[in-house]
Amino acid sequence: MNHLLYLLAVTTPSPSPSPVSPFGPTIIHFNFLLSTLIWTPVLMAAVLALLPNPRGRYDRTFFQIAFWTNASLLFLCLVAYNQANLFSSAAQYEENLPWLPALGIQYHLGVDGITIPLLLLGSLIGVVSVLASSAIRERVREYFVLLLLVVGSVNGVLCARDLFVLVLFWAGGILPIALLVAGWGGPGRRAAAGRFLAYGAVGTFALLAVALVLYAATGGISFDFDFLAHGLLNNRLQVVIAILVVVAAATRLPLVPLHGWARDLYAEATPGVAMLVAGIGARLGGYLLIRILVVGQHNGASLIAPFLAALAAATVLYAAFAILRSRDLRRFGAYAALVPGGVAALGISGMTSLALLGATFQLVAGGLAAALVVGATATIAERAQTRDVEVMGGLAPRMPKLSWLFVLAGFAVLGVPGFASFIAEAMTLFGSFHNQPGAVFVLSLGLGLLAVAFAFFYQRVLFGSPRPDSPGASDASLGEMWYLGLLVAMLFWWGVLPGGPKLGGSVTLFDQGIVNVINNSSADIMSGYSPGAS
Amino acid sequence: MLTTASLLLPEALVAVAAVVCLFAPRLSPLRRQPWASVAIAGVLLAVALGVELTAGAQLRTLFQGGFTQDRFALFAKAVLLATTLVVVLAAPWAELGRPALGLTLLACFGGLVSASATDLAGLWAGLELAVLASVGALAVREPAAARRALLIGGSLGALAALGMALVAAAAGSSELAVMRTSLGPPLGLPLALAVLLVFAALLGQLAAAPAGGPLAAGAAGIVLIKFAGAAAALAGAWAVLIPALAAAAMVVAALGAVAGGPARGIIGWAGLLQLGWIVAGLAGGARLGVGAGLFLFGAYLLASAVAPLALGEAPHGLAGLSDRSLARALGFSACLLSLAGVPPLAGFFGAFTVSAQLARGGLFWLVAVGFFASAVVSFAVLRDLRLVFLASPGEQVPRSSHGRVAYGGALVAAALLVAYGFLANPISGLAVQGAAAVGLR
Repeated sequence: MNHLLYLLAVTTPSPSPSPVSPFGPTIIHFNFLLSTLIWTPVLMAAVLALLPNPRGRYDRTFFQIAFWTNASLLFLCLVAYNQANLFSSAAQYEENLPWLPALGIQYHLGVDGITIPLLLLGSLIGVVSVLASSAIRERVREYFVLLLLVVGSVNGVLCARDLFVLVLFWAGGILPIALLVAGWGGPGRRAAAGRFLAYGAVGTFALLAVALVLYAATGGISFDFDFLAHGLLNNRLQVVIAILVVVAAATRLPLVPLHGWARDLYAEATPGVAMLVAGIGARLGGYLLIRILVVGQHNGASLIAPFLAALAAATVLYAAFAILRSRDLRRFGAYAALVPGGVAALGISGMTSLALLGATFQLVAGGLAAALVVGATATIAERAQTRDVEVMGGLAPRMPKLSWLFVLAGFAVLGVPGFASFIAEAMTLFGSFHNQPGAVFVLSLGLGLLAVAFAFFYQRVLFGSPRPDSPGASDASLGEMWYLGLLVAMLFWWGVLPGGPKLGGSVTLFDQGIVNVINNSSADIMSGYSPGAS
Repeated sequence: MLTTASLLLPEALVAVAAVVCLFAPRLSPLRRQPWASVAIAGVLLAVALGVELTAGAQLRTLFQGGFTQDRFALFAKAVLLATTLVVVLAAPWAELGRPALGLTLLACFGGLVSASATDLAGLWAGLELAVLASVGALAVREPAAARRALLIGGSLGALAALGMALVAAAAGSSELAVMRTSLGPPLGLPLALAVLLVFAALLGQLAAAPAGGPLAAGAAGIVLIKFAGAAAALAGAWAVLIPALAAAAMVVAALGAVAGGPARGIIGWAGLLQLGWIVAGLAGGARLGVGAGLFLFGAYLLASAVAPLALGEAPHGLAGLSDRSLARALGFSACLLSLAGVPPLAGFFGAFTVSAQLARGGLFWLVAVGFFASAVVSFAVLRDLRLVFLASPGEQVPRSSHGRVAYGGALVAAALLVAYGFLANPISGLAVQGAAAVGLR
């Protein structure tokens, strides 16, 4: 009985220190929103794994379960986004339970203005990823089990307010992604999965080292973000931690020179998995930079900012040159998907409130753009029955819908006005110019070069003269139009109305505006930095 | 009277189960129902575990101080009983035979005796009972391997006895409580050597787990931690040796795992890696470090016990194991990944707990070695698991003939390895209290 009482005591939630009222006080009364977002996909994965499936009879049911699970997560995230407190930078929807008291580890979850848009992005990409996986016919159950595990781990990383919890979910998502690539990818799937595992292991061990160094340096009391962020560390230690964080983030975002997995994975994985990784999995690298480096290590972040900015500029330049040389359509998509990460990293190194606002917005808009370009290239490659650019040519008349989606994807990556990525890039570049003028110049040059590369590529693949020896091509199906169109719609929505639609210029309608959600938190984070910190 | 009985009930139930299984072929009601012995053993073990988790929370001594029930005993017995229960569920007893089941239960009984022992004689007796019973269980199936295990186990047992006798002579008593107060610096060379002899013998017993059986290793781990608690004042004797030994174990495990080998080899290498982490937890001789090691020890015992059973006979190697039995493949994978320290399984939580304590103690180099070795072993494990799930055996291989109970046991083990980390709050807290109970500060 004593044990039962003890277990009951430790599993009962402690009162939330958040000033914000419980989730959806007028809609749904429960305090476990974030746990629901994390554990629902994991639970559903376990259910799928245990359901009988004689001779693949229920494969379609597994697809539907995965879809509705992600759709319900999207609904919950929409409500959370809608109910987010715009006037507070404190953690909202907090949950706090003791987990490993001997080490000061807590199951501490919470989200702020930086996290909520990324959660929304993650759940949207989750739905898109399932829709893009409707063509999976082999080992359907296993595929969706792994996909749901990835979704759960992504949400876990975003919601974690304890470094151990973050490391756990960060590492927990690597193996399912590698298995998804190894089990269902293209001809080079094993090498792609192996590379992803290797880079993932490097990132995880760097992050583990960050956790242990921070823990030991702050007295070995707690892994809680709020506690670690207030530790008084000397500059040398902060720089060591900053380097480790950049290494961990660069393996995921990815940034040159730790980008080796991205080309293979985006080119070999199924469209659903490639979109999931490009859309939200890779954005976690940028989130890590903000959450651990910018929030917690002011001096370390300022000292390492020029280095990070250089990596960002190098990543965009590398992508532009690689696209110019690319002869493989899916690799084109893979290189293009590197660009949003580079821009976001520049914003993070900008060390101003505007740059951080732009970087966070870029994580969201860039996630949509990266998923779109990766998804569009994968779909075109499937529909054109080849990835070889030399064989393609004049695809636009044969697949007009996909061609326009492909063009729009390129525009989104470049940040053409009208797209959310335009506003994000503009804020990033203007905000970063004060502290990182050289990197801003080089990155802008890279974007210009990228535009040229895209133009050449489009001319060759879409609008050139058709090749007589090219295999037959067909246009996008209704399902493909749905999930790619959804991404385009979101890019337009936040591109045209980043502050949300207003009635009579003041009354907020159903979307209170993504920039408004991010703004308070980014301003609060940067308030700890002196102007011109770097 | 009732309280006393409830304290001894787990041991009594395990002993009854062991006797029933050993003599089942001669008992007419059980002679024609081979599964009945397994069912009886499983039920009695489940009841024993339940009684231990409820009545075991009390702190008492019995038999004029010869038997103690403290937090360490509670943790150690719960881990041993849970592991034995999963082993009973997962093993193919129809092939191994009922005497092997009885001897396995006897090995568990030996571990329970060690967990509650208050002097060196009790510790040693429990350990030897566990080792000999494990060797006996092995002899039923593989006599040659059992002879080797007997030779190794017997030699290590003799060395441990010799070292314990020397330490007892130096302390003037074989009682652990007396040793805690009477042993202390200055540390002479003979005493240091005696302590190291005991450590070396017990670590050898632990490392022999793949050959000697997991329950013998469990008993050796229990004796090791109780001995470390009693001789904590002499931590200087092993303060240098233990980190070096832990690092060596990790490096050897990494090299061995990369080199590859037979299907069962990877279990041994991954287990050795985790043993390295457990030993690293002892490095500081402090309560939190040893508590972390004890927490990891529970995960190690469960994974190392079930992995060989889930793998079973592997005449075709690992290729296509999932086609033969998905449950066994899942159980085997969970055990291997846990031993390698891959998140979010039990081994990761344990290794992280240990590494946090090492970082707190400034042993960053050992953490780095551990991380590196864990990464290498993880890759080797994933390389083998690729065969399990993605490779074809190359010919038509019959599906596994294991019973449904064995499948269920493998799945239960996988679930426990996942749940262990997520229930870390009570388990780790109990492990730290257990470390305090054996006298560590």
